[in-house]
Amino acid sequence: MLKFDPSRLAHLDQIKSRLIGAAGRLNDDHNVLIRQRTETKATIVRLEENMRLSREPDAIKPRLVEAKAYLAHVEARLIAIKATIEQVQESASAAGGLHRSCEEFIERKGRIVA
Amino acid sequence: MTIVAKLSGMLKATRSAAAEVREGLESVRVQIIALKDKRQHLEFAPVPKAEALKRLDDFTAFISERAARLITPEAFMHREGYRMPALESYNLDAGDLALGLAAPVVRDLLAAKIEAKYAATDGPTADEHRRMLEKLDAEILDLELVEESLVRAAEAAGIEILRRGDADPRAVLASTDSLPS
Repeated sequence: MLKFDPSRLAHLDQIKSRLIGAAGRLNDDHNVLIRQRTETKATIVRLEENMRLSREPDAIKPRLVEAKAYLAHVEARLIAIKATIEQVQESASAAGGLHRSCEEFIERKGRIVA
Repeated sequence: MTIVAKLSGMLKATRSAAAEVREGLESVRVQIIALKDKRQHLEFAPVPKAEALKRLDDFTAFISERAARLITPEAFMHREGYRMPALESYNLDAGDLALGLAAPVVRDLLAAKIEAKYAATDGPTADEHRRMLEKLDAEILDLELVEESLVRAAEAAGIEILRRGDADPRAVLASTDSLPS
């Protein structure tokens, strides 16, 4: 005879909350990266403009190269974080679904016992 | 052995244990999916051939009787004032009439098709069907309990493994002493 332990629901709730929390933090990181990308793009535009107007463009060039390399790095991190967010959101959704179905199971079981 | 080498060995062993648990779990999950597919297939298994043929006979009798009520031999037997039956005035549906009159032919055609469909195997009776579904359900639950047991063991060892979103609540909420060890 299978016995049930309704307190297991709390454990499932913890997992669900942890995943939702992780998805939230990843979203925050994603937003930070978006901001960094925007700022870097603006820096690149500014540096390019300075180079165009400067009498010594070669002095600015290393900073421009550095800014472009940083932009590529941010873009790569954005792609990676987007994939992670998707994965974590999927896991959070599965954990949420399982938690709900277990809650409903306990409710039904409670009604049968009552 | 240096502490770094020791830690590196421990890390390797932990990774290997985690991989082993994941592999074991995957194998159980593959079996669950296969059994669920089998169950879904069984759920829609056809009724036994004899039952399908009986249903066909009932259908044939129904369309035949309906046609017989729609138009009778007496409609052609009046001596005086005979008028050819007009479908509209008798409120007859020509399709129903034709189908009813051709009922024996329709029955033979469909019976041959039913025989062909059951050529490979017969369908289970209602009792057999229920028993087969119950057996599969029990097998699926047993596997889900093994899966939950593996997940809990992994969690206890600090290995994070997510449960399936469609895991059976009976397994997920089972008390630890109800799980296979």
